[in-house]
Amino acid sequence: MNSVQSVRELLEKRRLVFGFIFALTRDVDTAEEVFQDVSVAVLEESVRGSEIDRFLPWVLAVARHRVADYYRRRGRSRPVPEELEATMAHVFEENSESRDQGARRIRGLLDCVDQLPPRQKQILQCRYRDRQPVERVAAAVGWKREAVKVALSKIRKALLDCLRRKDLLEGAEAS
Amino acid sequence: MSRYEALVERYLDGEETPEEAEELSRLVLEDPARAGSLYDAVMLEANLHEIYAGVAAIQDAPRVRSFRLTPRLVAACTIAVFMLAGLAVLLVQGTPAPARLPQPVPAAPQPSAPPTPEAPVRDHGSKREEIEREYRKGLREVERKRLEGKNGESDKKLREIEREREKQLRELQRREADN
Repeated sequence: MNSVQSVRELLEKRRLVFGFIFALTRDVDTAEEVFQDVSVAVLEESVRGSEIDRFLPWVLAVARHRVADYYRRRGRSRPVPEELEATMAHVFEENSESRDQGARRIRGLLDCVDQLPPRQKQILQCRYRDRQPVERVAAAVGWKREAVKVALSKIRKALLDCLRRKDLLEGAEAS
Repeated sequence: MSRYEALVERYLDGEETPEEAEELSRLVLEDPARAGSLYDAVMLEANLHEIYAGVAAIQDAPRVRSFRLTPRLVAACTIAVFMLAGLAVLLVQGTPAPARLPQPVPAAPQPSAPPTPEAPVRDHGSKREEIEREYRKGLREVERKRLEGKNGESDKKLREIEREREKQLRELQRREADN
């Protein structure tokens, strides 16, 4: 794989790589920072002219290392145990979607969010737009923390059901 | 809610214990359908962050605020008008003019001394322009990232360049004060 190809692959898999880093951090700011490190690593490797046979497993391994570096530099342990990290890498390798599929899913998700009741939209805005922890969301809507957690769980389920109806999900519903 | 769904919820909220993480890992590896649904659940979270980052970028962009005449604003304007009218009346009716004080004799103008080599005149204007130029350059990069759909990165870059600009302007002001 030449340098142009690896950069193209990274652009193609941008959402997926970001999603994987998010899965290992569960923090969007950290995920954004690590994603930048991973992008630099891909560029460095491409400049070096390294041969990368299978881009996706390679870039996910780079992401795992960069996440570990991120927490090591801050003297913190990784939030996701190594075993679950490996499982996540497996999950992302098996279910990778193309850039077009990802873009379709985003468009579908916007449509699904639009169909939610106003109160649920308010909760989503607090949680994702303002990046507030559940406690702050609870304070903003005047609910208890547990009630907000239940509401978020219901919203996620509703959105997944909506995406499933639009045939925009990789996996089937599992229990 | 099944045990698997409860574990996924706890994982998404970052509240799983090491034992629960191990259990979730085992359940996912046992059943490929669960791997698919976990992928969907994680991507939903990441995608929600992505679309709301886009919304935030649009909503936080500088814009002309709509002007609404609220009752409080009307009251404030009325009070301000009465106060100005009162002030005008006082000025017209006039208070006794103060006695003129003798003016000091102005000193003879001195020829301006050329700047000494120890204290060169610094071109703060061009430095300020340079800071603004760099800032605009950064803004173009922010815009480019936004167009590429990298909303998170563009927000981060925007914060970065704004911080840098403020820092440099503060530094410049300090230098101006020193001179």
